Amino acid sequence: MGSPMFFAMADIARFKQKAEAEQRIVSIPGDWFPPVPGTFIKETMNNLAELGEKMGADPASWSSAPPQF
Amino acid sequence: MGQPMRTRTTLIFLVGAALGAAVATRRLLSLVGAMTERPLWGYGASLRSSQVAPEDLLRRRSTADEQSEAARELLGRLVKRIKSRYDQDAASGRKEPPAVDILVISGGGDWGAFGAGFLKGWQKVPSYHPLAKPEFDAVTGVSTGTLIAPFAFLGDEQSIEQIVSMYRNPKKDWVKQRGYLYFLPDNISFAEVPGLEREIRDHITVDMLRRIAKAGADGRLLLVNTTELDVGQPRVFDLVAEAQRVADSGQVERVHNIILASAGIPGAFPFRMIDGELYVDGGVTGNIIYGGRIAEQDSLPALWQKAYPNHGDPKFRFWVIFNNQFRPVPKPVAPNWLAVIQRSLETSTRAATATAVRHLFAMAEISRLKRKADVEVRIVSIPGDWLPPVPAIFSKETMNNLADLGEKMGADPASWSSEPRDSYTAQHVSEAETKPS
Repeated sequence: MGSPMFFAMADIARFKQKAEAEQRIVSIPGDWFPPVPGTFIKETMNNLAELGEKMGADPASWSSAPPQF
Repeated sequence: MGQPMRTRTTLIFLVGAALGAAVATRRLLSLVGAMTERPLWGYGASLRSSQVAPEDLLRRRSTADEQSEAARELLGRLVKRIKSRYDQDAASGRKEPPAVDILVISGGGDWGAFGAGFLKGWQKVPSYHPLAKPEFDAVTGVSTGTLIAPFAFLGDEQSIEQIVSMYRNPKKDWVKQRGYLYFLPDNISFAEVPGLEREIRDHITVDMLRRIAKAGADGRLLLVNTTELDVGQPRVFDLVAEAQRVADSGQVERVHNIILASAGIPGAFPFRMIDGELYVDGGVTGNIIYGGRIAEQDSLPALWQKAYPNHGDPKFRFWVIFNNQFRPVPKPVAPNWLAVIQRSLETSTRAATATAVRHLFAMAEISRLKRKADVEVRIVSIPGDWLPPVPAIFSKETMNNLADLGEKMGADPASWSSEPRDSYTAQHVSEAETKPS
């Protein structure tokens, strides 16, 4: 619930203080599955690092809308 | 019942501690279980999970759009009811738009005694007082709040007395350790709740649900949160619709299951199967239901303005009963993993709820700033300096102490805070008691 609050705070700053507040968020896509179950698994962590690299290189990864979950 | 907090989390984490000792026993039992083709302990929850394909789980997960659609449908019903009240008031010559009252009751386990007592005390505030207990247009509950919500929804003195009496008289069998081998990891939970199940059966009757269906026929809402664990999402149940089904069919078990799911502390209490899916405590995904997942343009003030742009805005009033403390009483944490995790979890749940409360206040502020809507939020919570008289959970002494405190605070409109924090202290209550009247 932290991120909706973050977006709400920015909204209030815009409406109340006329502040120029932008907020963007990236997250692991909802349809991503770990290739291997378990925690701190090299295969999974590398898979995620690659995903992160690809998304990081693509500005379209950023969302400026509050997350829907 | 709302908080994987305090002592009860000991139960959950003792599982881990007991694993080593249980391994040999499990191997033997697994062998015998395989021979008899059925799990010997509990309901074989681990077998169930492994049978669900990830792709099926993804398909089952509702999308944000589906959730928004369901919320819009519910709020649409409420908007129609508000319009109907609006018209009635106008016909009777009343100039002011009606107030829309939404009661939000949080989780909190046995500390729900505070909320039940508060409702009883609130009845004593004279009806002419601006903060008198209204008839609620919507009541939402999570976990222990789910147990209280149906009674608050009916709202009559007898219903309120009934729920207060239940919290004031906890029975030993409400929560029972699952035999000597309670710690075995294939158990569905550490504890059984035969007494709690009995209370639900005794109090949530077909007659009561018929009354709820009737009371909600004009669009009033009674919503409770649960968590569907496989997909890790909340599922809000519309108890008016469920009550109508019971009124039609006489089959009440599903409603009992929903309430027990909503109040089912994960790991400690049994999970519940509803529509073939596995459900636990609603507090896992949201310890209050307040519309925090709804986009601003779908919020109640926005829907009202969209539907009736030429009518004045009603006053929207949120009343939040937080069956917990905003700030826990500081205490030294023992230097071991169990104590650290226990304290961390209760702190985490409390912090998430406090953030949700702040979000509700922020949403109200945005409605005011963006739409000039008239939105008020008030909250009561257990004062930060209150200490349980007895450390155990579901202790009669503690629950009566909290019910007493709730009754006193409920009768005093100054208990409400218009900021997302507690402004009341237990010291304040005891000083008020000693003041000459």
